[in-house]
Amino acid sequence: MNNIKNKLFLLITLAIISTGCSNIPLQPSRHSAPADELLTQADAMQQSGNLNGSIAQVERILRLEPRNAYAWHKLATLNLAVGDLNKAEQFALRSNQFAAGNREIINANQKVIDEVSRQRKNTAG
Amino acid sequence: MRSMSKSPKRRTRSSGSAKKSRPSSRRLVPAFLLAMLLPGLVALAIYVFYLNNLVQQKFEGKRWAIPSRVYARALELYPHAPLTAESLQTELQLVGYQPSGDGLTSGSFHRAGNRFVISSRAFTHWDGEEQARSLRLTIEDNRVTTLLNSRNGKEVKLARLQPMQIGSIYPAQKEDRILVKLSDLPPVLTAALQAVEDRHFQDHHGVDVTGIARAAWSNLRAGQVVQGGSTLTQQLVKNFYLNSERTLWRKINEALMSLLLEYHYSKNDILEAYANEIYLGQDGARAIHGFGLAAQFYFNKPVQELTLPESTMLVAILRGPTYYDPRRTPQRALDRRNQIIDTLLKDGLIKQEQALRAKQSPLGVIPKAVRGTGLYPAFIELVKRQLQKDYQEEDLRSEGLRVFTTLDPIAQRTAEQTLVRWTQRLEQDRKLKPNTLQGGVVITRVGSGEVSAVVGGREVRFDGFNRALDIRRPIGSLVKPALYLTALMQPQHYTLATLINDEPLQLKQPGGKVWAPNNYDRIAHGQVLLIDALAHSYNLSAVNLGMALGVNQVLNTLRRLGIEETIPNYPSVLLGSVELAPFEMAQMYQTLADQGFYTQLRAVREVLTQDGTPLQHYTINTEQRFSAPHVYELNYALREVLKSGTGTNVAPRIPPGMELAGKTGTTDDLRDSWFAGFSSDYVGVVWMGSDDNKVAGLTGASGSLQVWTDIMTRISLTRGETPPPESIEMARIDSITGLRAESGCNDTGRTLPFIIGSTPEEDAPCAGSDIEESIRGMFDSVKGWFR
Repeated sequence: MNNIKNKLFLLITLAIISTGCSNIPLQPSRHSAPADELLTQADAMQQSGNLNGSIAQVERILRLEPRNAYAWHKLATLNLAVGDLNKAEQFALRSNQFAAGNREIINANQKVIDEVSRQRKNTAG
Repeated sequence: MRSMSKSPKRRTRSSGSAKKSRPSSRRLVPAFLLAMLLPGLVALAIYVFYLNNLVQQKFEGKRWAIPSRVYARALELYPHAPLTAESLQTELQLVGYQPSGDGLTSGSFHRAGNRFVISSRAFTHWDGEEQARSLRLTIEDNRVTTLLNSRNGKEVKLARLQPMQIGSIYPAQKEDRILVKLSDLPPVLTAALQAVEDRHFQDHHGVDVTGIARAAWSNLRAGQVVQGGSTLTQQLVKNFYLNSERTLWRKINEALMSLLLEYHYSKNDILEAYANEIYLGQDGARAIHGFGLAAQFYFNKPVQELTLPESTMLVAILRGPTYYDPRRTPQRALDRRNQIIDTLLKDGLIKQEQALRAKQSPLGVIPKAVRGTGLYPAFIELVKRQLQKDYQEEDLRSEGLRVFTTLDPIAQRTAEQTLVRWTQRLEQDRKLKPNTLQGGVVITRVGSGEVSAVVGGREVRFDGFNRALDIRRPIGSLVKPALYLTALMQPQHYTLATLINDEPLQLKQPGGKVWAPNNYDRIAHGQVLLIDALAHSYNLSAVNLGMALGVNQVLNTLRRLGIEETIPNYPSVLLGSVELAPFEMAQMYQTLADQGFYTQLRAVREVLTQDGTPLQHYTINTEQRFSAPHVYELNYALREVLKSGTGTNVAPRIPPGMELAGKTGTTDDLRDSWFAGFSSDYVGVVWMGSDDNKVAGLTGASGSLQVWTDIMTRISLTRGETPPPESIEMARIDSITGLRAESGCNDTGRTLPFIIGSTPEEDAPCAGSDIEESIRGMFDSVKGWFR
């Protein structure tokens, strides 16, 4: 029962994120070759439902490029998907730190932060 | 008649009786014997049954307590990766890659200047297997410029080398082994093993009677034990189930158990168990068992890559790991190896030219590498502490876990060498008693909070007192960034240009004592800009400012920076009377380097089971605790420390474009020398002093800063300034008054960052004007009072 609930929660969360982010087709402005390679792997893992694997790949990018705003944003969305609201929010804030005025990333991060607030309110309510 | 009749009766009876008693007495003997033997036979049957259970239980259960293996971070190679050719070569050698003519065989590399050809090995990482690859790469200006597949010339976007194994967490009996499958062993190794140790291994049932007879005859002729008659199965039984005592009872048990083992298991199962069980050497307290670990221990390579001479060397060693130790008795070991090669040739297992080439090969044994906890004991200690939060000690020692850590071998080596060099040099320069100056270093990565290096003392391989983690000393002025950050968090009251009173004061302590702090140079500097008060580490400014802010506020900032220790609310805390370890300082400065994000320091990334199943992934844990513009201002002042402040003596050694920031710390009577700071890539903390807390005679700048600078300038490869947050603006400020420097005046000002809205608006009087002269005169006279 719990398992079904968890899967349902994951599906709903993914649906919410995909809806939220569909307005902003966020493409990082400049990808390095290794980040590109790892993001491809992360996306493939995410699509197959392996969110933890996808998180590990994005963390790998951040080891190579600690100031990669897009990777921090991606980590925020993945943590939102797995239901870790605190991490999702903090990673979005961290992404803003390196966004260097990139409105696209800043707006996408704000959507994550708004979604975190919405879910917290729902939980509290 | 009666008598007649009796007699035959009697006879008859007698005869009848004799008829009955003859078979009875014939039966009586076996019956008696049976009666006598039965209990013995029953006992023997029970005993064999017991042995049978023992043999099966142990062989089918968990055969060995396998230590956890601890790995460093894997080096990632990609175009534009910051890397020097020397660092890459060091890494390859540490991982166990062999230099070769072309670098095309697995686990080898070839270097020509800044060009490398590397044939990497396959390795199972936490997130999957990295295939073996053949790579060609060039390094220029500390960057990887090209990375190609050397077989097809195609560009490679990213490649990951296998990580270096940096240690093990052992079972109590300190046996270490790397489990191998029989199929992992080179065929020549198993062939040599059987040819030398047990020729009839494939034919006997556990005990080789002809072998025993031959050994007995040889021993009789020699008058001493020159040959053993034990089969490989018996040797396995002796080592695996029994002990090495020379008693008849042990030999009987050995024979019985060998027969049972052979009855239940295949020859391959037994040979594989033997290959993992056999004792092959000693590394301090660590016993080297099995061919898998022996291949690493003697040749620094996986067993699959052993050559003919290396395989025969291991077979030579197992006859007597001390007697044939190739490091201690190389000639004896070489002779034995060559004898085995001759045996293989005689048995037709190798060809003449193979034998000749193998016999001409040198031993090829690497100098004794320190492994186990011995290689990086201070770092391993940190790993254990982190793991002990989630794992039982027993599991760490016996379950064969694979622990992937954050250690950067290049940063670790740099930190170790630098600390050792500087402790020796400072002792000589300052005529200190030799071997009394100690130190501890912690290096972490900006961004992820991963711990790259930990040095626990100048005896870097000694698994003793870990100064990086455990020494607790007053942190001195390392505390001051917390104080100044508390001020800068109130931009309406404090900016880098705010004037701070650097004037004497006296404070009553709780016990009634009066505390009168003083500056290091014992001069009161009057009113100074906040940035200068921090850069020059003025104590009077710090205490004046701290008392104005409130000690509690400063303690709160310290907690938010990551200091979890409960610190008493005394004014002396403002000058760093609190005793903390270098590791705690690294956590505090990590938050500054991460521009206000507290990022928990981690030494472990992932844990896998022995068979490679992921168990745990320790993810980045970060939390914004300070506003980026406030920390930006503070960090700007910390960069000033190295440009014009207490750390200015190392300024000429900082490469152009490298952004370094940090703070010196010196405690009473020069007992402790600290430096903590960061580059764009790393956070570093260095402590130096004496274990017995005697006067070391070093300031933060003359001691730890020297070590810190050498480490950071070698490992940090990123250049360029940190871009300011959007809410920061730069403004030109008069250095004396902290007011805006007027554009028409002679330039005595400097450019400082301000949070928009906090920038001074009032113009400073021009240099040489009456007002400025009078301000200068006032400062000079105040200074004069305290000289």
